[in-house]
Amino acid sequence: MRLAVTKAFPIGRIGLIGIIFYTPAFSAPSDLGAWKKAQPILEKYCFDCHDAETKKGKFDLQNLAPDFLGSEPAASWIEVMDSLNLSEMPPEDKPQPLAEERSFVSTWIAGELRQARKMANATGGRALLRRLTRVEYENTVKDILGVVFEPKQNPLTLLPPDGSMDGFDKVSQGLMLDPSLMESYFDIARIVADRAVQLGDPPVPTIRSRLEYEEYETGLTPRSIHRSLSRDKKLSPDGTGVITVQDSFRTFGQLKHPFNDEMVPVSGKYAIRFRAGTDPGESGKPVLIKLSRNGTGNIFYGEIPGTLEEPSEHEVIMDLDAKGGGELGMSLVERPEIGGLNRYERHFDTLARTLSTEGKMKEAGFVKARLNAEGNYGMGRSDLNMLNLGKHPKLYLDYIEIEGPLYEDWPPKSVAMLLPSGLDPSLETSGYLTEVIASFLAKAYRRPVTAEEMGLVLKVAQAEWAARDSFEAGLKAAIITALCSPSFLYLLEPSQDKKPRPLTDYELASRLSYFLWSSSPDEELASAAANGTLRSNIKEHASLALRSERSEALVHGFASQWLKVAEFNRFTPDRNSYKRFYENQFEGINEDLNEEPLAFFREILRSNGDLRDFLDSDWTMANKRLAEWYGLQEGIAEGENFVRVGFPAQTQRGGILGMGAVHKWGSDGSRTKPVDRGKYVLDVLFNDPPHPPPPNAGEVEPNVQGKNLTVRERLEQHRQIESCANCHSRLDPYGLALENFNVVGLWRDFQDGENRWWGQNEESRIQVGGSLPNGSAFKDFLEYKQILRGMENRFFRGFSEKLFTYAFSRAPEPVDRGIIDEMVTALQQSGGKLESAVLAIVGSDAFQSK
Amino acid sequence: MVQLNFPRKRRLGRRTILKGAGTTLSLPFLESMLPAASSLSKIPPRMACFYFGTGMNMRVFEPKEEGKGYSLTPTLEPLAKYKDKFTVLSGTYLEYGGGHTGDYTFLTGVQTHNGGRIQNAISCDQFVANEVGGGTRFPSLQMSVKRGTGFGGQALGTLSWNKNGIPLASESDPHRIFRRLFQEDSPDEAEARQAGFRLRGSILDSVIAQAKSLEPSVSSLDKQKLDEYFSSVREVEQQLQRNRQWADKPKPKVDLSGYQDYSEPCGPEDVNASEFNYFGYSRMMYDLIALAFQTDSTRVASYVVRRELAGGIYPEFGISEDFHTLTHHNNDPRKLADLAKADRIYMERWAEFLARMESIKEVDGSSLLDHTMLGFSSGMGIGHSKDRLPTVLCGGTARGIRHQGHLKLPTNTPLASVWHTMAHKMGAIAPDAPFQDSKGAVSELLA
Repeated sequence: MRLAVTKAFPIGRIGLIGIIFYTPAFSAPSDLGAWKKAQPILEKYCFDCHDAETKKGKFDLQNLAPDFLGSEPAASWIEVMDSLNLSEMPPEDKPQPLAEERSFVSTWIAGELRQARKMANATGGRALLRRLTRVEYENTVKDILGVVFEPKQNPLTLLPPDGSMDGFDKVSQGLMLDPSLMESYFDIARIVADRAVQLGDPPVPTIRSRLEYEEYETGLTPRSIHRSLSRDKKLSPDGTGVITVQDSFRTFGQLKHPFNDEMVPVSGKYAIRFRAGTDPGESGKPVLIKLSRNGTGNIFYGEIPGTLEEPSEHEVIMDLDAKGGGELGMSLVERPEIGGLNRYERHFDTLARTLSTEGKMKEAGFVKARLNAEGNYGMGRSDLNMLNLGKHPKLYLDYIEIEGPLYEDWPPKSVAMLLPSGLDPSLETSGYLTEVIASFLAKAYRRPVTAEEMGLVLKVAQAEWAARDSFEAGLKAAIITALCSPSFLYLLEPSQDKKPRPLTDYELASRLSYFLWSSSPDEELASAAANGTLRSNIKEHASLALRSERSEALVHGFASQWLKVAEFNRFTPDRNSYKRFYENQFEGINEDLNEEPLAFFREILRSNGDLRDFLDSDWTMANKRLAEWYGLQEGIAEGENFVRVGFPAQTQRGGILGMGAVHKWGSDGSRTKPVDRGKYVLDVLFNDPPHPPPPNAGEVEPNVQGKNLTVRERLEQHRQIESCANCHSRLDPYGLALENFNVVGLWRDFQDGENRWWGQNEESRIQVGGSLPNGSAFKDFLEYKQILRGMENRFFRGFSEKLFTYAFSRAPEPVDRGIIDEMVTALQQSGGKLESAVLAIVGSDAFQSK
Repeated sequence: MVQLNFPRKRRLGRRTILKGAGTTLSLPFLESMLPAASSLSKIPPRMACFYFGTGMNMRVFEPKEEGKGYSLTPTLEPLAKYKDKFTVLSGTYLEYGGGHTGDYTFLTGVQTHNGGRIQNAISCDQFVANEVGGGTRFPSLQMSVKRGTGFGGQALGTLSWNKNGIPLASESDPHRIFRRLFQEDSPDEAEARQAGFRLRGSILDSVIAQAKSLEPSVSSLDKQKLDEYFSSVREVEQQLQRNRQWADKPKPKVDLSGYQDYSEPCGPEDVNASEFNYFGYSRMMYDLIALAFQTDSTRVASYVVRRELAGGIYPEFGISEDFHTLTHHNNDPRKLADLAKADRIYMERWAEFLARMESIKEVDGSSLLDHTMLGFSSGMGIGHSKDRLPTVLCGGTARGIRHQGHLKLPTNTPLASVWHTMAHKMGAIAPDAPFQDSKGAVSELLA
């Protein structure tokens, strides 16, 4: 992308525009019919005390205008609603309204309040100026400068999280700019400039360093290893490595980079390789091994194909932080207790452990010190019964090596991108600086820049060049300036108030790329914009953009927020109730569960699949561990990577509601929360979240001592209160239908969790049957999903509203009804193709105008 | 294998030119008037507000008896030695607290969240700092277990909001705070700092000019958004001015015997989890407040000791679940016990802080604690409630605070009344003047 500097760009020329603040003019209720119906109810039951005359509690309901936009009247209406919902009003000794009357008024108020909130944020259907999110910031600087960041020194880590509204972090009103964020922009721009302009040799060369374990057998052995070898380690038969049963392998500080004698001299990308094999011994069970580093955690964890005879080679390439251990350690995950402690020592060892878990650190220290003083602690004497090593799993290790820091290119790609002719003293001219900056600015501002803007940036660069006597310093100063300017930080679209105007092709290119890629336009989009051919081919460009790898941004931007992925870990499953979740075999299952919904969306995106599969499907995405967790057919998935797996005809899984992450979300760690699960269904699948509960509605009560009620039974108690029943009868069935899934997403037929043994009897049997507010009855999860399948239009509408919000950076308003309808129709006609909804958005007037 | 090319010799001077550009202080500063606590009448009052996120186990926090003769509860027991120097205030309440947004309204008392928008008002500490902070190097100090503001998210990193309702960023690393307060720049650093000032100055000029040229062409709705940019950039500009002004004034020297080592970064975001010890960290943070007050570097501080919702439990506590999970205790006795244990651990740290404050003597022999009001509470009580807050006011006896042991305030007394009391004793406001949602300073404490 090379955009010329133009003097004629019109931004600076548009004159002052009459400023009209858009204030919604409504103060009447949006539903007049309902207001007329509500009035007599209020009059009948409330005016006795709360009329203009009596004004009991200084509350005059007679003169309370049905104005839900003003904050004072709205607050009064909220009070009315809450008092009705909580049955606080009318007082017990006064005539009570019928349940329907009570519910009618409170539902009406809730609806008006929601409507008012929408009006208050209304934009009149116009797109709003907004700043980049931190994800967009990171993607954009990577794309326009080609920078590669050090671990943890990237914008995404250093910028604060963005505010979120209407469920997405892209919404203009949630994206504020405060002085501390502005400070961060300055600091980060400096880091970006330093990473982008790296001239000369790499500061730290790439070096490979290897430790061969058999060498320790030939005289190089440090004492500690020697001691280990004499216990249960031995040289492999072919003499190329060492075999162990119980011990771990360390690197003993032997892996060092000459730069500063550290294993990881600077933070960056490294390759860690090893050659190893395992033997299951008599157990025949899979052998898990791990390779880890202090501060980094596990570098490798899992099974390897290698055996003692035919070891396998492995390579892990990852970012390592310079802070952290200078050691790598490898061991079997489950190690037998051999050569450990004899009975006398074991007694004290257990005692020390107990004391330390009780917090009695000092006492624990004394016990340990005593063991140490006796020369026993941690050294161990063999337990004779355990000495038959043949039956134990074994680990063979040939070598461990580390290579790095790895550079993808040197000089970095960013230097070539910025400085097309390279740099040598003859090029250090004002003309070259101007050329380089002009080319960069056009990318940073996503449009041709004006001469005035160019001058303003150039001035900083030249001043810095002169002050520092360094061309490089001047160039960096220009980059920092550009990255702190409003034209970079904001998606700017100049406009007049009166009527919408068509976007320029450059603006359209940005809208499209930030929608689908969360980044700036690529060269193709930019040149289509420059040629003026973008608008006429916008749908083709959108289809291509959707198929590009870069649309992965939709998975992490749109899908993860739509599906509430960031909240999947809000509670930790209880260790005692859900032991399986913490078994070694399932190490990593939490991440797998969280990944499944995203992998599912990605699969639909990549295969141009059917979005209705979110309601119910005969497949999901799983890796080996997740397939085992769900008890799917053995061998259906292998390894760590997620693959598409099919289900047999009748299945407990399928659709988003069969995914453990959602069950986890709708639980508090020890018991399920059907109300929350119902909320998830209504919000995520239908974009129709329930009204928030009245204050002090409380949670479903925990079981009191001596009572074993299922969550469903306790919820039913709660619903005995008529005013609660009003909301809950509409909400709960959606969540109770998922009661067969426990806190960690496993199928259950009987109640579990909550630190108690429920037993398996008719009393603890899970009941899921019920009927939805529209009357459809179901008796189990399968029938429930069938009903959901039948609600595809409601789902399409909900999904369209979510995608609209993401694309337009604002929630849909009444004027947007047309686009939403078009999206729904497109989804119906295409059979739920995501692409059809995207094209309906992109092709709309609203998307193409400001 | 990765191929490396070493294309040509490095030619340009490799001075890290922009070093320093990002090290400007984010603490506001007003120059002039170095401390002069030389005579009795000139011992200044100080105050600090502390936040313990996600409430406490109030069942073992709230004392049963009222008045000075009350028995300390298990959670408060670590403070026994200072029993006559603090008051437990039951009945405090945050109208817009509870849930997980109590940290926003904690020091401001206003409704911060409204239909997805967040709008806050000036916090109590900043109100006081504006009134009395001009005489010190730093008008106020913002500390937290997590740096930044955390604005927009559920776990704020700061309690302080300026008069425009904009959050002020906190610092979590004792080393960085120490540097800011007490460490002089080396000549190189001073030079880099000056260069940084210059560059930032010229960048600010450039981006403001660019923004101005755009301003006329944006719609009125968009202009409101662009105004956020303008006001932020201007704030950064003013900051730069202040930083320039005090850059060459000497900082106070402190004697660090008996204190920990502040020479290396040691915050939770700066060291690996395995090297981090909360107990040591906590002491360093509290000690910094004592040192800052002792040297009269500032008179007002705020500190997020434990953030709302996030974190709060460290391996050395010997508790296996995170704090928020424990607060959803479902009446499980084990979880309630763990919660109480965590609360007590925090109170043990607090006792260390009081000991430090007490050990530092003013010129008249009274202690620093006697001239300082330390108020802590939370954004929720127990069970995510907005009442039953764990509120305690410590110190300030030499400033006329009369401690009452366990004082039961009328039900739902706004927490702002406690801040009002402190602000009043700072000389910032009359006890009956309008202040946030306070119904007046707590008269019993002033008796």
